[in-house]
Amino acid sequence: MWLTWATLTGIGVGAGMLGAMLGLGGGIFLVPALTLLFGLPMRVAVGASLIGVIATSAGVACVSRPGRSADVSLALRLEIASTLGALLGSLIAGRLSTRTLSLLFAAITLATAVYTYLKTRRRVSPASEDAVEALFRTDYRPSHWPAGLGFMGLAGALSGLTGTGGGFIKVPVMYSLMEVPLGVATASSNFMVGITAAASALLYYSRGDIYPLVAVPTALGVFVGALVGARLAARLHVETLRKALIVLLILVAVQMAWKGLQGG
Amino acid sequence: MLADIISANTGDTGQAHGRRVALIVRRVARIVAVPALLLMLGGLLAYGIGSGWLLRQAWAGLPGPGTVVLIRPGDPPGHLFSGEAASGEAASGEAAMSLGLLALALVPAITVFLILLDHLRDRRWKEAAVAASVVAIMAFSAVLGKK
Repeated sequence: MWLTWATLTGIGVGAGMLGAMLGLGGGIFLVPALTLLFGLPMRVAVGASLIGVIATSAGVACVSRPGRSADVSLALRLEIASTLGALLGSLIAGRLSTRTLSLLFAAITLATAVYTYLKTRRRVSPASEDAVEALFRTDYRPSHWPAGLGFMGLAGALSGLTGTGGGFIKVPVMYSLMEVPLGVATASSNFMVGITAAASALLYYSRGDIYPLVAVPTALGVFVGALVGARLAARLHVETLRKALIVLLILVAVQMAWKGLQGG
Repeated sequence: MLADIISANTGDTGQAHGRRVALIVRRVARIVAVPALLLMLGGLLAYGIGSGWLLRQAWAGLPGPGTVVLIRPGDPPGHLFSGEAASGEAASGEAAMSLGLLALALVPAITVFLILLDHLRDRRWKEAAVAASVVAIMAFSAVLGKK
């Protein structure tokens, strides 16, 4: 029992660190780990993952520094679409096959990776400016609101369906499409994934789908990992963060496509 | 009107109210989430210790006070199945974990609600409308799960 809890906590630490560094919430790593390594039912894994995503968001918020925090105003506007999407996603979860969901998930993730890569290649000029400061510059004005809100609704729907925070869509959409600096996009996504996950988690908790013996050790690990990851993220350059994000998106896409082709 | 509210200029991280809102986010995380996690940790330890004590009792064939069913018929000795209150300590631990989980799940809702109050205090109606919408959707989600 203690060994199982220690393993769950260890997985949580890893997921929390990556989630905090990349603004993803960690759920994208938790669900595969809990289902593949522990053989847990999908609903239990999703419930634990949602709690883990909230813990990541809270952990990052605890250590965020002034001037390096989320654009709350932007985040809340986008969260209207995202939380609505999360609600819809939770409601339609039972009507789509796992195979369809997996392939849809893979296609969207891969498209986002390609789009981020192409878009950022055109604008990179790290040598001409202080890259770290550029991550959190304040002289921006978000653009493409309708498309941005649409993608946030989609991210929320996927969150409700799969137990992720949807950050793997939120960061690239804010950064590449809405032209928000990557550091602000990452910090805002960390704030947003907590809200999106909470909307779904409250529903899961009310239904009794969150098992304390699984969710608690995982969440504790995630919180510690998020504290470490948030400190590391502040020292990373934009290039490192961007490359990590693209690689991660491709890995997730391949994994989900494989799962879908295998029949879910 | 709606489009105007949604697409208002943001990028307020460097402004005074932006910094104050960021402070609310940080404080709620520290004041609510950290104690919730400590409660969960305490609950986990209590559950582990309580279950461990009862496991030893079961191995020795000695039912302890407050013992509920620990071993299913046909299961090997010492096989603990989840979802059962194994002992007083374990039951308390499980209750503490559930309470901690609920508190953690409510952190984002509390944060957005306090941000809403801050906007109302400063009469920033558009911002308040946005925050109120998010709070309403989260409340609806919790109610939906109960049905």
